[in-house]
Amino acid sequence: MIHVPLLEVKNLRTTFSTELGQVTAVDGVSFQVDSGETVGLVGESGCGKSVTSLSILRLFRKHSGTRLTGEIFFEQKELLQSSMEELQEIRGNRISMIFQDPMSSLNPVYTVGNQIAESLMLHQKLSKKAAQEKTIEMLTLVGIPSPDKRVNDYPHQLSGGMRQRVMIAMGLCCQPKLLIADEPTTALDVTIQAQILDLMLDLQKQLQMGILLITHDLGVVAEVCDRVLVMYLGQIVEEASVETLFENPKHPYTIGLMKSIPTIDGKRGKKLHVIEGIVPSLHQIPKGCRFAPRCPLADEKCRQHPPDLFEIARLHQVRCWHHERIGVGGVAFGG
Amino acid sequence: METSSVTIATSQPVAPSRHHVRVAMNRFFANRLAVSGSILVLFITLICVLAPLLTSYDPLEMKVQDRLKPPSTSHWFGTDEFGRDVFTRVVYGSRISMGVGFSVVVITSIVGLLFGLYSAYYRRLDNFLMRINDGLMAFPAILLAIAILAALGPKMSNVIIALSVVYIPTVARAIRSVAITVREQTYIEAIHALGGKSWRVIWLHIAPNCLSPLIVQATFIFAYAVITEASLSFLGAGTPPPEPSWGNILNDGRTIMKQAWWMTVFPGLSIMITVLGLNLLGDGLRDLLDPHTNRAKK
Amino acid sequence: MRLGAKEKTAVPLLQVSNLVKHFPIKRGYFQEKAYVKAVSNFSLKIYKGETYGLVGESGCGKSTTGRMILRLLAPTSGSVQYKGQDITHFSDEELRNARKEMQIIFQDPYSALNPRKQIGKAIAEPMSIFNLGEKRQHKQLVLDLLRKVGLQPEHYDRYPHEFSGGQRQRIVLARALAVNPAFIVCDEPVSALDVSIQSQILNLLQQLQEDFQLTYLFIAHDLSVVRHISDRVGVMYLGHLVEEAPTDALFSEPLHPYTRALLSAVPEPNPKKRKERIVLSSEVPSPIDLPKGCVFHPRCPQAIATCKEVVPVLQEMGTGHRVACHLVS
Repeated sequence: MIHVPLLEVKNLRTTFSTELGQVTAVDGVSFQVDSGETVGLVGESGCGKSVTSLSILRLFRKHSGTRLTGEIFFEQKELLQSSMEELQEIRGNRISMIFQDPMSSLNPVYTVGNQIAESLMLHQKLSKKAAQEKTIEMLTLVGIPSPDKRVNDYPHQLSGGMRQRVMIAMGLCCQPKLLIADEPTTALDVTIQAQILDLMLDLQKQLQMGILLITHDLGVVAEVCDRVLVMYLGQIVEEASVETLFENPKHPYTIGLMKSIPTIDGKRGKKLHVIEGIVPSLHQIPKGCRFAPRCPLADEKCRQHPPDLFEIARLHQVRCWHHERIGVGGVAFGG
Repeated sequence: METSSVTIATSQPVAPSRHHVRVAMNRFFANRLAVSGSILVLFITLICVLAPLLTSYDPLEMKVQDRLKPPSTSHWFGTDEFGRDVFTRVVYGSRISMGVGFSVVVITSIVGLLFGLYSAYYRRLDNFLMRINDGLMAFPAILLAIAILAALGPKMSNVIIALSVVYIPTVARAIRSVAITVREQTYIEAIHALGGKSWRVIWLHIAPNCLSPLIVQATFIFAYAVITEASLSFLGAGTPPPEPSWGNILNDGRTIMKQAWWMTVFPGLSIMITVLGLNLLGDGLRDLLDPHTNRAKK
Repeated sequence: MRLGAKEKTAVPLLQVSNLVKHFPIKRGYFQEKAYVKAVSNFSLKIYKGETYGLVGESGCGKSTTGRMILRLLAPTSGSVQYKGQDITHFSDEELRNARKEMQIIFQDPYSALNPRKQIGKAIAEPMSIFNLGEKRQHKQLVLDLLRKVGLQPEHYDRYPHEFSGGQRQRIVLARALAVNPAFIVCDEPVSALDVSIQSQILNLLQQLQEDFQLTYLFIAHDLSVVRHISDRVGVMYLGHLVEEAPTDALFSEPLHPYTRALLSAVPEPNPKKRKERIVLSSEVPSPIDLPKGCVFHPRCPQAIATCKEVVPVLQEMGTGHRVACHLVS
């Protein structure tokens, strides 16, 4: 039997019309997520990682001038062509999403119990009583103390970590096949972040979900992901298993990112490595390789011709003309 | 979930400023409310300024032989019961209406800004000023204006004073609420940390950030002032006759509406066009200047 | 500047003693008054030329402390001495003058600049506040500052919205440097920035420290950043300083159970080292009703009976290594 991934994104392009003209926030992104697998989508702000996740569920306002092309298969069903009703059936049920800011994603005028139960009644067609029982069960599962009392709390009565747990309970109550988590721990403290990440991995094992984890934190990626996609200016620049990526990064951007973060152990150097310049605006995308203006290895070819994704090993792809010059661990990399 | 929107334009670094001028111009001309409103207001303003060039009659000159003539080529809007040319009186009346409106806007803006800024900045003062505000706002605008005019006597300058007193609380309250949000911004704390004195914080940092809402508010106050001035004059408490004001022309025509419809229709239309223009402009400016409604519209 | 024997001999540039901040909570007329106990009995010494890192999770009172040190907030009690002068009771005018020496940069570079002010004017503002030099020279001074923080002269008349987060943080730095300060409170200066920009700003901060002989109080929640930049580090929990040590000592031998849990929770960018975390039970208690005894005892994996009753005091455990815990002796 041929292996069919849980989620397959093929050549996704997302275009917005803004007052300064059209911008392509996601440009030709392709990747897969399997059941039980955690895929990290890493990049800095403006790289298109959140837009990618919103595109999967088409969570854009109507008439916002957003155009999506490409194909997205979820359990062999094409999502970009399906109707809003079909999509509604999948959202929150088969695919769940957790956002960075749990306060603005919860409705302040309903109790958290109500909000979880609503989703259960809608998607799982449970009775009110059954939904309530299931809600308390979910709150217990995500580790909220005295869930039978907390179920009647309003979002503002909970702490940030508790709210994020509620969001996860809400995301998981219908036992989705795929969880898209958009910076789920960025707003949280490290000790709470550790709890939430542990919880997500734990639940993943129990439910065999695929997780698409969107983050800018390489530490989080290293701790929880199986495979990683690195994005820069709307494109995937490197894709590899987490071990390969951290041991043998091939794209100058990935290498730059890794060298520029201070670590908790090892030597304390005087100066940090720096990626020069700033991320260009989507209105001013460089002509050749998008990273060329900030890349220490860039030459004329890079500035003129955009590189393709080269498959340099099994499951290791990199978008760089000079990938062969970069040795193991990025050591041949200047600086 | 449906509402998670993506604001690409704002999240992008460094776009040169000429883009923003162009974007602002484009946005203004794309906003039909603002454009049609400003055309109407411009039209009325031109009439005010050019009044003597538009008519050869004197607004006060009576000609008994021309009493209550219907509109014709020599008297476009007809004549009133004293034989005065209604067109001329409406044109000159615009000077009173717009003049009162404009003066009220200037006074309420300055005093309202002052009150709003200081009560936002000093919490003690806030309690005091805002209670006065509440007191004034408890009265219906027109009743308060009549009461003030009854005390001061009907005179154009007194009309301006009365209307200013009536509308200052509205402006002060609007400015205060904006100033309070601005006051909490980090850049205000930064100026404190840099050793900036209160006047600097209030006038160089908070005030400029209150200007957009002030402009919007001023446009609406202009419209209210025009209507209230007309109502006061209509009731005989405002601009005293024979000086023409849209309100007192209306009042003159009120008793003889059946014989001389033109005496009520034309000043009435003028009021309507002016107020409509100002309100459209106000709505348009609010969409343009206030980023929240702006985003919601798109 | 890595701290050695210096601490014992030198006079501190800044000495904070028993600082307390209680925020009253608004309640009805007939209810008992309550307070958020943001900072309790906080003491600290910072020496000239060093970077003191203050870490802790959100709500631990680290930003409140930073603001009290600059008297942007009035302390409930306690004192702040700068160069031997007690600034806690300074008049407005004295305070204004003190602010020439003490500056702050904020976490959110987007809201730290007035959106309606060109950045050249914003940077020149402190100069006109203190009437430094002649007006005509201001532009030249500003251009110098722009260059020092890595911006271009053509940025002079642009508005804040035309800049990215990292660039804005450079502008904020330039504005703080305009008065030639000796001491800067950096309140989470890089936590709103992207990873690649973070390192640029951290390097810039270190560069400026060398060039201008600055002393920093560096407030942050990111332990790896604090470790990189600080000479000494203090750890705060619920308004209390629980541990303080030279950076290397703190990160290699953390003594307080909270510090240990905090360090173990930091995710490391190394997939081979998926380490055992010390997962703390439950959440930080409310600062309105602080736990009795040691504030950390309800979450502490090693708490003993004494912890519930007696408040631990900071005790010296080695060169400059202090810890407030009953279990350490």
